[in-house]
Amino acid sequence: MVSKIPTAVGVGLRLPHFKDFLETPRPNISWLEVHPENYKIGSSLKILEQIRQDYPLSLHGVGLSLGSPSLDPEHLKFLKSLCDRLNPGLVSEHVAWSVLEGHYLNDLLPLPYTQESLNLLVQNIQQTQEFLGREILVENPSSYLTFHQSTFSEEVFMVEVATRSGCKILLDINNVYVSATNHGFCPRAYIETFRGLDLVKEMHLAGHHRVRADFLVDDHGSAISEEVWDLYEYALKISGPVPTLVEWDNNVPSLEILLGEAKKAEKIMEGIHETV
Amino acid sequence: MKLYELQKSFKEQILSSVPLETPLEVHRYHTFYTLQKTLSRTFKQTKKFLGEKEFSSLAESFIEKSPPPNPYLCLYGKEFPNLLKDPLLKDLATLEWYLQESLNAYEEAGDDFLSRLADINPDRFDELTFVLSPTLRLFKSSYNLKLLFTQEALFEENFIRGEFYFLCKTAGTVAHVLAVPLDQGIFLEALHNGDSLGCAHDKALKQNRDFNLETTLAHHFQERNFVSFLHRT
Repeated sequence: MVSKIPTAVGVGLRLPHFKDFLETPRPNISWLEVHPENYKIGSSLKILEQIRQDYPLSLHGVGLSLGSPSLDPEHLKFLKSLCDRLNPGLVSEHVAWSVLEGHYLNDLLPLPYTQESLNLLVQNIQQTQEFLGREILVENPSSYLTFHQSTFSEEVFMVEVATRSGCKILLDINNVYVSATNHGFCPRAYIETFRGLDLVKEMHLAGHHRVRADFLVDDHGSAISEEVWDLYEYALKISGPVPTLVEWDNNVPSLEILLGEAKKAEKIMEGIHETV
Repeated sequence: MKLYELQKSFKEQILSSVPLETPLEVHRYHTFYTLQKTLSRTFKQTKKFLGEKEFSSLAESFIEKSPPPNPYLCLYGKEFPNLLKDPLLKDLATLEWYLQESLNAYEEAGDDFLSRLADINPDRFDELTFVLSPTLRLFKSSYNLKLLFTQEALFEENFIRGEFYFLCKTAGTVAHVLAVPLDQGIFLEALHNGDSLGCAHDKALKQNRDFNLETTLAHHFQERNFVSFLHRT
C-alpha cells in the first residue's frame, strides 16, 4: 500500500464516485483525498479501505477547528485512528474555526490575523502534530470579510503560522483568487510571499460562484475558472511542482469530467516540470 | 475585542434569524445549507409527507436550537423526530434515524460465531444470549410504516393502529427497512434486551404457537444478524 503522495494531480473522492473507483480497470488518477469526517460512517470506511489499496491517500480535515480555544480530544483520537488505519501520505486542515462552546457550525469561519490568533493556531497545530506524530499542512481560507483588528496580512500570517508551528502550507489557489477578488488585493503578490520558503507542499484547485463582479463565493460547485488556472501556473513557478488536488463538492459531475480537470492541471504541471 | 468574544458574537449572529450583511450571510448560508441537506437526506420520507416548506422550517429551527456537537454530519439529527407532533410522522422519522444509525455502524466481522456455537451442547442452547449485529436496528411502532416508503401521499389506512416491528439493516452502502412478523419481532426484541434464547423462544410462542425456532435461527444465522453469543451459567 503506497503512502507517499506523488508530485502529480489527484482528485477529491466523493460518494457519487465510489462505484467508479471499485470497478476495474481502476480510474487513472495518481492519488485521492478525502475528508476524514465523512468516514465516521462504517459502511463508507469499509469502501474507502478497499479503494485505498490502489491509491495513495491524503486526509483533508474540515472539523478540527484549529482556530478554536481548544481542540476536541475525541476528534483528535478519531483522526489518529484513521491515520493508523489508512496510512495517509498527507494530513491537512484549515486556518479557520468552526467549533465554539461544544457547537459545530459546519463552515470554515474566519479569524482575525492578530498575535492572539497566531499564538492560538500555533499551539493547536503543535498539539495536533504531537498527537498524530506527524507534520500537518494548513490551508489558506477563502474569505468574505476582513477584521479591523487584524495586524497581519493573510499571506504573512500563513508564513508565521507555518514557521512557528513547524507545519507546512496547503495553498488553495481558488481561495487566493476568491479572497483577492473580494478584498481587492493582488493574488500574484500573495503567492509571491512564499517564494524560496519551501513551505507550500500541496495545492488545491476548485470552482467558485460569481455573485457580483467583485464578490465570489468558494462553492466547489463548477469547473475551475481560467483566472484560477493562470494563477495555478504562476504558483507552480514560484513554489515548484507540488501534489495538486482538484476538488468538486457541489453539483458533483461525472468522474470523466472531474478527471478531465485533473488532466488539465497535469498538463500545466508538466510544463513547469520541463522548465524547472 | 478578544478572539473568544469575537467568535461568540459571530456564532450568535450565524445561529440567529436576524438579517445579516452579505459576508456573514455567506457563512450562515453555508452552515444551514449543509445541515439542512443532511437532515433532508436522513429524513427523506418524513420530508415527503411534511412538504418542503414545513420540513425546511422545522429543520431551520432544529439547527438554530441544536447545532451539531461534532463534525460528523452522519450523526446529526437524532433528536429531530421529537419536533414532530404527529405520532405517525414521529415514528417514521425515528425509523429513518435508525436507518442512518444502521448505515453508520461499522460491520464488524462476527467472531468465529458458528464454529463456537457448534461446540455448545444443543441441550444448553436455551441458556445462550445472542448479540445482534451492530448494523441492525429493531423498531416497534403502532403504524405500518413500511407502506410509507412506497407511497407518495398519506391515506386513512396509514393511521390504523396495530403492532408492527421493523428491522433496519445495511448491505454495502445502502440501509433497508424490513417488515418483521410479530412473533419474529417479539423474539428479536427479547434477544436484543438480553433475554436468553429459551426465554425469547417462550415469548415468541406466546404470540404464535407455531413459532419455529430452528427455521428462525437458520434464517438469522444465514443473514449474519448475530455476531456473537454469551453462555450464561
